[in-house]
Amino acid sequence: MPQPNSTPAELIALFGARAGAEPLAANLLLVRHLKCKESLALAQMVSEAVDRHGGNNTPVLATPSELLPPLA
Amino acid sequence: MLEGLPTSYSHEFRAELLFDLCAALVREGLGTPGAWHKCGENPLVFAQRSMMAAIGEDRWNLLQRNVEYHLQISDVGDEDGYTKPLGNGLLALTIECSGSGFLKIGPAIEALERECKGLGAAFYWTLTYALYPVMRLYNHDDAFQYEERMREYAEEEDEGHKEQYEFPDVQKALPECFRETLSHDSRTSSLQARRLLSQNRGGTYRSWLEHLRRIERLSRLRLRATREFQTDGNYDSAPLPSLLVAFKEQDAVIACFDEESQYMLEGSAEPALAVLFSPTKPEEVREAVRIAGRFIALNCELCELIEELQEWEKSHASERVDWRESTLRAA
Repeated sequence: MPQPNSTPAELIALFGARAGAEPLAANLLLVRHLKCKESLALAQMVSEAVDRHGGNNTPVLATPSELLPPLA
Repeated sequence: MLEGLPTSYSHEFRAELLFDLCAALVREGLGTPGAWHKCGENPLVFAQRSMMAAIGEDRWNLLQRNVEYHLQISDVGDEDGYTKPLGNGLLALTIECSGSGFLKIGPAIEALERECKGLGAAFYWTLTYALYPVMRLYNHDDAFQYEERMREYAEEEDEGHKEQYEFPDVQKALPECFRETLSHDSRTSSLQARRLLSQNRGGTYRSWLEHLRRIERLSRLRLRATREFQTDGNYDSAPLPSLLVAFKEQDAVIACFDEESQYMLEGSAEPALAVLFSPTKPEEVREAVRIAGRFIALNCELCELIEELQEWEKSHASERVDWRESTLRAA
């Protein structure tokens, strides 16, 4: 790992090594997911289902009547 | 309980291009080992800070006060309205303008004319022709074209509907000394302008002429941005104007610009500057740095001139500058 006092050549070599390094497994998985239409469709469906059914603790309020009762 | 949980997530795709860019920045002397250490060894932050350091804080602030530019380096481009990877290890450096600068040049032209007949017009034309190759302007010429279009539309209307058209009288907005030069032969005028500017280089307004001389020198550098990026992008329009040049407050040029600018942001506009380069090819990186460097240096020189003229006008007239209402005018 280059130190603050390392040379530009050492830093360039470090970037070269990083550029040629194998991608992380998590990144490869993500790339596979983003390239797969079925996977993307499934993710969207799960996300929509969560929106509809998950964490739905907020009660739906009834629409108020056109004439609101006066505040007490 | 929440201690140790990750608070952010990032992923990289084609990260090798980012590391190649970082290496290129170091090769060009724009990024340093010290900077790499300071930014927590994050390649994205390193690339951003290295470019910002190359621009410099003062110049960055100067540009931000006068115009809205956005600099970006990306591995994707637009093709027929869709974002697509550039491929072949290429990156695109783009500068987009979303709010144009404003130069009220009338008072300066009049002052120069008082100093020496013909000097005001010479200043205007020389500045205009120096800026044309580098950036899109909105000036008297665009206003003339807008007026002509309006007159053509009115001609096509039935009798009785023609009255609904209002025409800006652009000719009237021009200073008299400048109006006279519109019909001159450009080659002769250019030689005369050069002679006049040279003769007055040591005069009262030498600082303005010095800015103009530096702008001209930067404009003459033989550098070409990448045209393919613009043509492949199928943009709806040319770049948005980086500068509005008018003669006085609320003149016909400003009126035309205000009308036209309402529609300028509707479609996609070409970037003000675009250059494709491969970060692994030092000569291409150097050329990209030179092209962007020239664009920034010329804009800074222009912004300095704009601010100097504003200061001069403040101390010579009570007229207040108020041009912030328009959609596109930035500063």
